[in-house]
Amino acid sequence: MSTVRVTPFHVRAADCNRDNRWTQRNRFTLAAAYDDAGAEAAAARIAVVMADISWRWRVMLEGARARELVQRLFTRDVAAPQPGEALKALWLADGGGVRGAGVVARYGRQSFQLAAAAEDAEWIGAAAALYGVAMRDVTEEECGLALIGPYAGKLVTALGLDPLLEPLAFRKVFWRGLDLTVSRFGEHGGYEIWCGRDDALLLWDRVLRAGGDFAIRPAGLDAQDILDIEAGVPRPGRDYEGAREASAAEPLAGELRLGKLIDPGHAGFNGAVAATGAAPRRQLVGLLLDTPTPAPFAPVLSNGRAVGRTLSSCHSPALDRAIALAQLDEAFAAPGTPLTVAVPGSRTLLPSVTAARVADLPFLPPPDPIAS
Amino acid sequence: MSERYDAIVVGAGVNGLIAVALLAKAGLRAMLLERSSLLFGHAGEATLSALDPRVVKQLRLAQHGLAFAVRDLSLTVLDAGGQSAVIGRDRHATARSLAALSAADATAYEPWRRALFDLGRALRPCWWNGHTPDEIRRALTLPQRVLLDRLSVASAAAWLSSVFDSDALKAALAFEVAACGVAPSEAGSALALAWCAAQEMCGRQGAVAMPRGGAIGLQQALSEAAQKAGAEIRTAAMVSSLLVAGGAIGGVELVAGESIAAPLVLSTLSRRRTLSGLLPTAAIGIGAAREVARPQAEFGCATLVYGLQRPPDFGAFRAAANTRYVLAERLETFEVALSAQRLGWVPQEPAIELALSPAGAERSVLTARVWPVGRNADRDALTKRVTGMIERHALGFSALIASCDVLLPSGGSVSASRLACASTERIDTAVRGLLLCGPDAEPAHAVSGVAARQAAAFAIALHKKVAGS
Amino acid sequence: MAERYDAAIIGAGADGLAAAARLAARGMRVVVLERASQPGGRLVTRPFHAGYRASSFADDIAPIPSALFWSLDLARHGARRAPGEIASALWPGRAVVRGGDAYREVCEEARRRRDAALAYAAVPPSRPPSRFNPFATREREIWPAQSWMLRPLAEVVARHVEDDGEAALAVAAALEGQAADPFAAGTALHLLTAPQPAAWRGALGGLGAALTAAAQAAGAEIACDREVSEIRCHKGRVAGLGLADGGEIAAAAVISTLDVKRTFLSLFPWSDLEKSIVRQIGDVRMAGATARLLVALGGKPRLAVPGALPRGAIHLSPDAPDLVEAHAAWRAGILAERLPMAVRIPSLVDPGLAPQGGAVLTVTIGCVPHTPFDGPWTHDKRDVLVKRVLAAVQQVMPGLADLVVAFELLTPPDIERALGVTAGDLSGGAIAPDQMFAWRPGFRDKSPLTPVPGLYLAGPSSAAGALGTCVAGAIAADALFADRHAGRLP
Repeated sequence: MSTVRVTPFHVRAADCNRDNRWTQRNRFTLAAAYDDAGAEAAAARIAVVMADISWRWRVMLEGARARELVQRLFTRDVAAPQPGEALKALWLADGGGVRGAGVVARYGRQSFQLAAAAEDAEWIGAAAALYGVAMRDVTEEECGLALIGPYAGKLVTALGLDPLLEPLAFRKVFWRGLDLTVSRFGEHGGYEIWCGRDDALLLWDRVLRAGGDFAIRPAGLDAQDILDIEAGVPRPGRDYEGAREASAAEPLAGELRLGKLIDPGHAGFNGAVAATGAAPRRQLVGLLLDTPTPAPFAPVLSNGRAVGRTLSSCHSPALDRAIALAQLDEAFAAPGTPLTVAVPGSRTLLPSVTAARVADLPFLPPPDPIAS
Repeated sequence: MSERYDAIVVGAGVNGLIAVALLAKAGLRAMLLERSSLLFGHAGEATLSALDPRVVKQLRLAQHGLAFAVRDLSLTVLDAGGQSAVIGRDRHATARSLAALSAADATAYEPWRRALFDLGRALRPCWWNGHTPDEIRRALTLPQRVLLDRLSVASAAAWLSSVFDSDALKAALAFEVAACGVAPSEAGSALALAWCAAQEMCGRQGAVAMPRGGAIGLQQALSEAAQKAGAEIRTAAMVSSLLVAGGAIGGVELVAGESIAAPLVLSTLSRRRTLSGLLPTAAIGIGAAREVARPQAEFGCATLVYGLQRPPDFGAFRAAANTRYVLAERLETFEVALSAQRLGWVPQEPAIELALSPAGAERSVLTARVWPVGRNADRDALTKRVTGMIERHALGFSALIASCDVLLPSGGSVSASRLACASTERIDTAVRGLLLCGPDAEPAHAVSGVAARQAAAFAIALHKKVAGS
Repeated sequence: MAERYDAAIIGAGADGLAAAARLAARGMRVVVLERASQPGGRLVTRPFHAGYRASSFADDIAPIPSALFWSLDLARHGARRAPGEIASALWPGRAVVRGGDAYREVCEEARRRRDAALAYAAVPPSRPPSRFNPFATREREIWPAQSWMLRPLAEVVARHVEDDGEAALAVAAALEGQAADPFAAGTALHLLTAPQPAAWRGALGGLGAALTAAAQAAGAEIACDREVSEIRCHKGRVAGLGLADGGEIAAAAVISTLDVKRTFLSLFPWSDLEKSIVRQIGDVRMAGATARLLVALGGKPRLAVPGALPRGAIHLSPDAPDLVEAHAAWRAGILAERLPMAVRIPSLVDPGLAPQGGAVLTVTIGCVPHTPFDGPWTHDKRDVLVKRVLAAVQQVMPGLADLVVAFELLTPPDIERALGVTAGDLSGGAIAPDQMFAWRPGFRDKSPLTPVPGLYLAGPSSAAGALGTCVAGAIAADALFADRHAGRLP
């Protein structure tokens, strides 16, 4: 029995992983980059890439009072959409601090699936227990591939699936002997295809074969992170730590550019009072650095005075420079403000100061899949 | 049996003889080892343009029999249309003569020559004395620096084309560069013109002289001077390897089995032959061995010496006596010949320079310098080709030939950047006490003795240091 | 069109559009005149067969400096770039030789020197760098490309790369599309001007479109189908342009992105220039040796050896003796038996270039004479060249002949006709030590970029022209703006 937790695509991923670079996320071992992260991220804007997203945490919430549960738990009325649609929402701690963000998909009248980048089993489980709803972890049962890029739609057509799908919608299909779920939940405008774990290798091979005409290449986690940063999406665990204490008031959704995921009209969600009352003092903005070297978690200065700090940072091949997400004081968050970033030294680099400019998020619009 | 000498010179020839003579004159016990049984007998350069005058003075070669039949050969330029012009020491005569080819060139030649000679003289300390480049540069005036910058990167062909109009004149001047062993179309070859202008023969800058008795006359004078100074000369002694002990030279070993100890060895063989042929494998570093083993240019300037029954008749043009002719009508001749050489063919029309022995000499000798010729070219094919080309200008030439000696180009890399590097790089080796002073160590392929002189100077200094300590 | 412009730019190529964007962003009234029917110059992707598109003149170009990329905001205007894959070499029967660490080291060295040389070029060259000392014996470099100025390419490569196959690849990659003898002095400079692998969405046309969008967004006017026939001067300064269709443009200053010979010897009345300048320009040597073959394939080619098809450039049998022979043959006007070739399959990176199921293959051939020794290019000679190229590619990609749907050949005269570059030389002059950096274009004692006040030379012949894309245009625009600011322009 293996002690390493791998996704069902691991065998194929290992074949493609030329330099044997692996990383961990959600306790899964995944390829960091199959070839070169920059090239993969750039290919997502020029052709199409396929990414293994089986590491995403998914739970099913089913029960007689599931509707009540989700309306209490999430910051938007996720029971409003019809089965087959989904909504992005946050769930907050009692004090108003953000615990996590995810996509809640409606499977049936009292059946919902929560898909999130980071696990939060205790909290959701405890909430579910309050309402007598069963929380079933389906992460291991299904595995998924994301197809991102301008040719994702054409690829989906070439596979024989119907590309016409609204963003944040999903449907179940029976395709060439496999039970699949096709969805469009991601922030990068692509498609996700989910299948049972036994069918994983078959799905991988079929997608790769059909994608040969579209210059498909697999993309690792580093490339996915680059796309996330270019889209201006902060991720829990990477850019911020979700609130852990029940009474925590930090981090504020407004400070993470997640304010629009809170619906003030939706009454009664956990942490509502504190969340709607709090005024964010900082803002999440994008920084364009005048250097190709990334500067993660570095202080941002204006005239020598600290006005914030960068979160994650990467080199963006499309923009040919390093970019960073940063939390800055309100006064300095206007786009175009010139600032400097003090990059701390490391084993291979001396500490330095780089010029930077505040930019609007997203840095680049998501690659739009061309509908056939 | 192993005797002890202070210095050994491997290989006779002009360089070897100069080195051993200078060493002996400085009081060292010096020996010259020559592979063949004759000290001189192979054909050599019949025209000298670069013999170091300090060597002539130091060794008092004039007293040992070195005399010049012609002190200053002029250059005759032959046009495709049959026009000819003579470039000599007299400015006005040169200008009048060049006017037949092109009026613009007649006015452009003298300032060009003056600037070139000026620069050459200013650069002499770098080539002759091993001064550092920065010192030289500081001593140059601004126009000289500008010209030096231009010459260092331009090809001789490009630079001459930008100054002169007449194709024949450009080609004739470009032959100097080819004779140095550098292709006139190669970048940086214009500096070779400055090198030629820097030399001094018989007290005149940039002169080309013809020693009495040809090349053999020079070698005889040198060997006399060497023996007078007390050097030992041994023929029929071929060196099979060099003995190295602890990073320094210990002596040489001969093919016959004899070994001779000496703390200083000067080699006139090529860098490659010396470092990878004679030295034991472990003596030089692997990197240096790789550098030496790298493929080098395989061609250069060959010399054909024709012994004639009587002087040939050059018919159409009756040039002045004591001159040399270049039989290349335009710069493209050099390029086409170079391309052919690179493709592995014998060039249809190589560039040729002819020099006739002076009127009144006992034997009529025509020396032809031919470029480009491969190191391993077929002597007979080459002779036939060159004879045919000369025949076109002097009818009945082939009937006059009594003998023909061919001296193929010796090896060594020929590149324009060699002119620009300092002397220590060329002469010194990684092994203490081993110095190179052959044609390889010269800035350009010409009999000059500069490398031999510098190597001898290094050797004497080393000897003094060891003796003093 | 009859009004007066602050600046008129001849040629809407990379330099012209960059200069236009820069000047228009500073509020000047700019017009760009282009002879072809669409802007872009070298940066166009044309459909050469139904459904198949390819970049006609080159797949890889000299890099755009990052600062220029940011200031022109090309990413916002739609340019999408992927870092190019490193080159590989293929010999029939041998496994693919990919560029490894040593080759990357050489590329890094070259990049460092190129950047430093560009920094020098940004200063208007009034004379050659005064510290260039050819006699220096140590590697301590005063000037960025100093120790590479006179070295042969093969020697410099051999210093860094041990493996023979990789060394051959490095030499071939530096000499792609050129004709040079790797053992001759001064050829190491090709390492600085070698194209850099990068993949643009939409091939180079994507970059051209982004530049056009940037120029238009800044407010520049781009007029296509307008050929400039004359540069008009008044009292020794530039006064405007005369068009081939009889029209006239009045402008206070002109930036020409044509090469130096075409600018001065075709567009200028010679009597207006000093004789020495005319002589100097006439002495500039052009070395056009690039031919391009664009092939439309009905399916993806496969290699004879096992392994995936490389996405980057594939150099076929790059042996040094073959290169020497090919160069000698080029000098003589002959088509060599074994020509240096670089094969790319751009549809492996951007699937939009070929229809579904098909592929596009491009071959960049070097050492192709501009005028063969026995007369101009005829159909027969073109056929011979195409056959030779396809046969060479077929050796490493078996079955290619069956996949070919259509092809298009561009010889140096075709490139000359299409782009207006003298002798088909895309680098604006032979890459030789006496024709690089501050020795281009050679107007040392006059105003920074040309001897005629009001005329600025950008384009491939200028100092920065061969070293980077769009840089020459930006430098000329800056010089123009500085002059205007100082009141030196009317």
